[in-house]
Amino acid sequence: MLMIVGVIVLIIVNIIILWITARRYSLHGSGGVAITLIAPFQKAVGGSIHFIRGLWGHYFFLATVAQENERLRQALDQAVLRNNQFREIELSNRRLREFLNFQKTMSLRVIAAEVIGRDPSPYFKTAVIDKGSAEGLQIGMPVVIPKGVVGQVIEVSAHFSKVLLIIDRNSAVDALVQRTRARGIVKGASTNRCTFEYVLRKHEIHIGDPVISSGLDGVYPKGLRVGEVSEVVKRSSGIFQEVAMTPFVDFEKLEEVLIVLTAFDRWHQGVR
Amino acid sequence: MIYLCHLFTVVGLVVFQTAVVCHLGFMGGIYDLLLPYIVCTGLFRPLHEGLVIAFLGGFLMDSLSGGPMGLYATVYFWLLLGVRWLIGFLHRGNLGLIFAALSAGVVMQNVIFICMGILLPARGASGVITLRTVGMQLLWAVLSGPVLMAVFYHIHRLCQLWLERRRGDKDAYEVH
Repeated sequence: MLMIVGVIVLIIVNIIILWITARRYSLHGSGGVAITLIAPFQKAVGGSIHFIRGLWGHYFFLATVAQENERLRQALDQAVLRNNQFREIELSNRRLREFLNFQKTMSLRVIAAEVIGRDPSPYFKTAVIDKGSAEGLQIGMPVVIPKGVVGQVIEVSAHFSKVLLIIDRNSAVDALVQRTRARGIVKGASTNRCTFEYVLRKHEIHIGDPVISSGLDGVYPKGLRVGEVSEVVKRSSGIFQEVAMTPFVDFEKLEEVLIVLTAFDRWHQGVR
Repeated sequence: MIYLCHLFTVVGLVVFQTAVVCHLGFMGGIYDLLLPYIVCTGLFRPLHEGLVIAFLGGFLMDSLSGGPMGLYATVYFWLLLGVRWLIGFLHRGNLGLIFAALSAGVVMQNVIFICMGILLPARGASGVITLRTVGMQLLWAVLSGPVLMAVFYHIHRLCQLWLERRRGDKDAYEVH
């Protein structure tokens, strides 16, 4: 009898503790301590894997093809980014010509970081990167790659940080469809897809439409590529339509990321 | 010394899961490798050692995961208590017990994660989970669990032997 009561008390205490910790991202910086302890090992192991992989890829297995492929992939990334920028500029020009007062919306100051660790659970989507507060990172800074938005920094230690990916269920990005400017919230679904929620039924959205950040959430600068619409369901009732979105970023192959510093500074100065 | 051995093993398993598994495509659906370590410790080591490992491993995993702090520690703690309870009336070397404890650990972890997602939607895991994920983890657990546990058991044994030998040398020196 006493044992049963003890177990019940333990379960209740356990649930209360989890309920409290679930309401905040870090518990007195304890997460940062663990990241500081583990991340150097992750970096060393990751570095060794990259080295072995690089050795194999570049010297033993189709040396020239691998190099050429890498160069072309980088060039393609650049081209995609530039193409998107041109498209955004073209659309902005058309819209803002009427207002005669064009302001360049974005000039980003970024810092590069390497992904050194992944979330051990299949239910949560985070990554550990090898840059921290010593390099100027702060909680809430957006993380991107040329292909699109990756996520935001949620925990920072001196030289390492934890990034919440946009495919995590706890992530949300204020976004709009590039073609129609229909606004909504991109939320993670803990798979490699996201949902694009709160999009009004009146907007015409097609599969394949690119979705970009709106800049209204105060985290992600405007105009960053987020993903493309992969499914649209319009129910007979309700004011919103159900939209599924596939991110442009391949999170399985994420190796290097860029942390945006400028937009964050500008936003927070603006808020103050 | 034995705690140092536990620390190295736990850190090694955490690093392997977070930094190596993502590079090995075929291991994509693997279960939490700390589970067999907790089961092994629960079966063959004293309770206080098991508790230290459960909370240390839980703390490290919770810190590296996007879930609420204490989620992994919860799983390890209750798995350890469950195993300790089971060996009260089952033989600890029983292969069936090892399979059952490990499978129960994998299922329990998934169930707790999903339940937390339902109870605490603010930071919970997705409730959308396919049977394929759990099935894959169970398959991995059945195939690799006993082998891993044998490795852990021998690591513990080697550490214990080394410790006893050192103690013996020290005693001999003092008598001398």
